Amino acid sequence: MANYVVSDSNLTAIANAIRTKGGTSAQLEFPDDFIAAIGDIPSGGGGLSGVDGGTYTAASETDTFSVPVTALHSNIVFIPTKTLANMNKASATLTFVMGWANSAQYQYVFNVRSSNTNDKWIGVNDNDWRGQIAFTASTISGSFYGQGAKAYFPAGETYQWFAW
Amino acid sequence: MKYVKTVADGYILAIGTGDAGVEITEAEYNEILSVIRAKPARVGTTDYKLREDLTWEAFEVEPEPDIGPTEYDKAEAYDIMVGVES
Repeated sequence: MANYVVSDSNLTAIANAIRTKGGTSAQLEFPDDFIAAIGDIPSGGGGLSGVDGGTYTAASETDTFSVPVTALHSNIVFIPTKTLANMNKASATLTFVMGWANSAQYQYVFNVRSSNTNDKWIGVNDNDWRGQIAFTASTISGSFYGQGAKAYFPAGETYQWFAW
Repeated sequence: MKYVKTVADGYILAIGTGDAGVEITEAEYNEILSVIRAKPARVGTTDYKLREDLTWEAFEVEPEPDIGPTEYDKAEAYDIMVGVES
């Protein structure tokens, strides 16, 4: 086996490239950490970069949620994967929600629902009323309220979600 | 993409798919999903939450808060949508 001399600046450049692609800030020791970090880089597949996504199905009816993510985002949207039964105002089913971090203080929830009475409404969070969404590098969590009732994820209904 | 579950305090809160989270097999995902979709119906203030062993535990639901409606005109709604703080 041949041995080679490599400058530390070149190793640093390679490590920086791995960190950038892998979305990590960890210190990497050559060669084991380099190998491991490269293996952890998600494989491409035509998806959008910088976007997390998946499905979410609550086990029990809930007005709170938490989804694991691979990076810090500032927006999330949930969309039901099938048409949900119309609900009356006594219990509002989440049909669409978009939340984003507007500033260090506020996380806004923008929630749109239509009922069988064509009573479309918009509910907006203002920091400590109607719920909040918290964005971290590993999870996005939050809660929702609706007009005159608590909006929630029904048990067993699957939502598609995207975060960016 | 992998199958994942969210667990807290011995209860399964949700399942799903994604690139992060506690990974489970597709078979486990389908098993949990079938249990979730066979959840006992809520009766009055008694609802059920799912234990990690896939059995249901009854609990009392807290009363819903009385939240009044907030109405916005189009300009206010637009500002909220684009992120203009009031």
